[in-house]
Amino acid sequence: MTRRLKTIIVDDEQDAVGFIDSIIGEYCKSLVVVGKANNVVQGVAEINEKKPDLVFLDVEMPNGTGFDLLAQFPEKDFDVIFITAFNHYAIKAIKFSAVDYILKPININEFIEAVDRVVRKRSEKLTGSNENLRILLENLRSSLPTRLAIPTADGMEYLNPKDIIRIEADRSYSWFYMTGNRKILVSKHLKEFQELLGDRSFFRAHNSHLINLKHVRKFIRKEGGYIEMADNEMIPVSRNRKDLFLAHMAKFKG
Amino acid sequence: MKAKILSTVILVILQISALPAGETRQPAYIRTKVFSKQEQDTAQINRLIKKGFAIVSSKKGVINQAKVYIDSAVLLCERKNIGIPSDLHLLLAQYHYFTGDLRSASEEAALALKGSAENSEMVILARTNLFLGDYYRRTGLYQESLEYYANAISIAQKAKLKHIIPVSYLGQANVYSTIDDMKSYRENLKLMIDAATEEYDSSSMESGYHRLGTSFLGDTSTSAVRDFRMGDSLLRKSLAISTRKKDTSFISLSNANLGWNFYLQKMYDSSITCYERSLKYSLPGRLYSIAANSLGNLGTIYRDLGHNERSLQFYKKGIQAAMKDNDLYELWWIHRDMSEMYLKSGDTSGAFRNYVLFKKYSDAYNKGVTSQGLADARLRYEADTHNKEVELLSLRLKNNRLLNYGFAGLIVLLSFIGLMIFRESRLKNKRRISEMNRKISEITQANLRQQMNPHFIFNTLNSIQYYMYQHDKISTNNYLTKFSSLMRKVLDNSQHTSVPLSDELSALNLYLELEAIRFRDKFDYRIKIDEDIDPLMYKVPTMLIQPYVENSIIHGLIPMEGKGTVSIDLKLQNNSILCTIEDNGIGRDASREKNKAREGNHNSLGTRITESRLDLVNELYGTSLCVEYTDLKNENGEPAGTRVEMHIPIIT
Repeated sequence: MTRRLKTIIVDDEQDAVGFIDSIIGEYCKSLVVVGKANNVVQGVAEINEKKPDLVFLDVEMPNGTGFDLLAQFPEKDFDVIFITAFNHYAIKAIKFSAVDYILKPININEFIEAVDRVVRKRSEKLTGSNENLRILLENLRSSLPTRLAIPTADGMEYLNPKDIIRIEADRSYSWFYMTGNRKILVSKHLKEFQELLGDRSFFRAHNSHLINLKHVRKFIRKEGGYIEMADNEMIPVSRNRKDLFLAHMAKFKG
Repeated sequence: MKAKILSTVILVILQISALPAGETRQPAYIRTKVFSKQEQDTAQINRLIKKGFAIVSSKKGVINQAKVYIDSAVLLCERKNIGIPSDLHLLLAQYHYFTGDLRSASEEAALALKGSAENSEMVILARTNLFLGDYYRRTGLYQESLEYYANAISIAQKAKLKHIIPVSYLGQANVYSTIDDMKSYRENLKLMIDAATEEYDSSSMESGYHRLGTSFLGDTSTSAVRDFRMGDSLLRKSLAISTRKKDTSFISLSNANLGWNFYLQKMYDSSITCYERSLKYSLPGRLYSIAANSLGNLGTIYRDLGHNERSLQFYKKGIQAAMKDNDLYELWWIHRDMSEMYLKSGDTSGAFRNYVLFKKYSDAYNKGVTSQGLADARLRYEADTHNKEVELLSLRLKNNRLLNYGFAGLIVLLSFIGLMIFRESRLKNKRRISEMNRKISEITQANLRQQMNPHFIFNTLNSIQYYMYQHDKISTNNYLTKFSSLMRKVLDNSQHTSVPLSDELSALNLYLELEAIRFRDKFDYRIKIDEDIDPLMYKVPTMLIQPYVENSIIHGLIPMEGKGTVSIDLKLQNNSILCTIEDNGIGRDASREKNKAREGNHNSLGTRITESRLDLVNELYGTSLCVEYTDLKNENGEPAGTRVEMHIPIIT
């Protein structure tokens, strides 16, 4: 029997705090709620006092956001699950930084899964500074997230999308080809990165290739079409994606 | 040999069909050969003809009165055995021209031409040439039109006739304007002014200066034809004449155009002064179209200056004035400009309201233009076939087969070119309008999307409520959060006119999951996506598929006994996505019966909205997206469901 994780709930809505408290009580035996807060100031005080393992943190609160609260803890030696009612701009940064979040109204199953992930992570390695949260605050500072958190064999890596030349699918894994001839294997499906990077300069040129338009050297029309990338690799373009590619390329340059 | 027989047969047929027509249609031809001189009768006839001309040339809606005079004159000629005079032929030609009987018009004109040439009646000869210039301009034979105008001019010069020359130059100018030859248009207007000056014809001078000045204004400040100074000085010359003549309609028109010239130059104060001056004449003169134009433009000037309240007052007055004349053109642009004003000030509902009106009037206006275009095309065709007959008849005399083919070819070519020009101009017009509408269409789309949401919301909320009483907390919570995910998706998607197909499909999936919970054991669903389609990359217009799927479930599957299936199949086809929604339900006929049994069929709201959205999507992206229904039958010929197919455009 492992130690139960000390948990604090920060949400400006009393009902939300009550609901989270009840589902923890009913479904999450590995957690124990040690504190509740309705705003940033109370939350900071509670965290300083109770030293929790996990904080359920509402993003939008009057008098300061959940991120403001986070910024006051340089060590960040607790885990955070964000709770938010709306799918706003910050979700992108949260996803980029591989931090957990749950949308309101809360789906109990999703809630339990998110809690399980934290419990598993906590049991695997001892507590320490939570790098993902630091990256999240960094990503929030610019209009476009600049650090993409990817789980590798040795833990987390934080990549600047600018340095990714292309990503190639390998069954349910993905190979990252970086500038400077670096190659990283990630145990996630290519589609997940397409979702994260698709609205930036990335283009799915082929079923198994997501390429960064920034690193396209030229387009070769022969034999159905190839793209020569900065790492000299020739990427085939699917027949049905050729027009889209040219359209994206034109937009990208313009 | 064979060919010769064939052509003879054709000619015989033509001869037979042409003869009786010739006899009944051209009694005048026979009568002209009989001459009689009875002074008072001739005077009486001349009086009647004069009255007829007065009516025909005034172009008012009393053309039938002219017919009375014409008939009386013809009757008198007949009774007194007087040959129909050339000017009566010309009058008849003009009468037929105005009533749209172009064939008779050209026949009468030919008789007038012949008669006046034989009797050296130079005035009538010149006027007939002038008329034929107008005639061929209207029927689209521009070269002929220009030649007849030129004939009229040279006859008038030789015989020193007044009034003919300026009007002929104006006719030529109008031909060049139709074929977009601005240089020749202006040259002919200059010639018109010179001729009018020589003849002391102040009306033609006034109109010439006005048109020439207006030709330098352009539609935009960057227009290639635009020359502020030229436009200003020429319009002022016209205005000076109008002021001397106290011609209120030209005074207000020239002032309004001067105002427009200043407006494009961004000299708003001067523009306002001109428009206000124009209103001083147009309003008391009941020239409502001109007044509406001035008022509307004042509205737009104040809008550009940021005085929205002032602007609104003028727009409203402009609309009132335009209503009085039922002037669709003024109505559509005023509503368009108003919509833009509301949009700028953030009042989207005002923008929408006016957009709807703008759309209504612009549709009506364009419909008018198009039907005018169609009518012209029909006239052109009729004139062509008439020419063809005439040519074939003359061919009969010459028996020249070569010419026959040549003419037939020429006529086919001419009608083909005419058709091409007509189609091209219509296409161009269409493209311009769709470009213009595009921006404001997006507001309308937003409005339509909002109408769609309640449809989802209440059905599902209702079942969640029921579910709460029947099930445990977790499954109710699942149901509720699925619903909230769907709402989130719909709201997200509605922020954009197009979304990645994956977003569209995940909303559809959520919808299907919810309905599957709601109608347990009533239906299965399947979504199949072609491998060629990358749902993350292909963007499509939002919320198009769901209403049709809902239709299949609610009207096709739910009323049937046992469990049905709805399948959604997406395939890539020629740069669009072919979406097939197929169910094995009761079919549309049975569903219609059931709906009839209940009151009305309010259920089709969803599809109706989607249909109007399809129209908008088509307008927005220039597609011709449409929905095709197929009633499926089993091997016994009984209804076995419905298939809906639509081509969804991929938006880049």
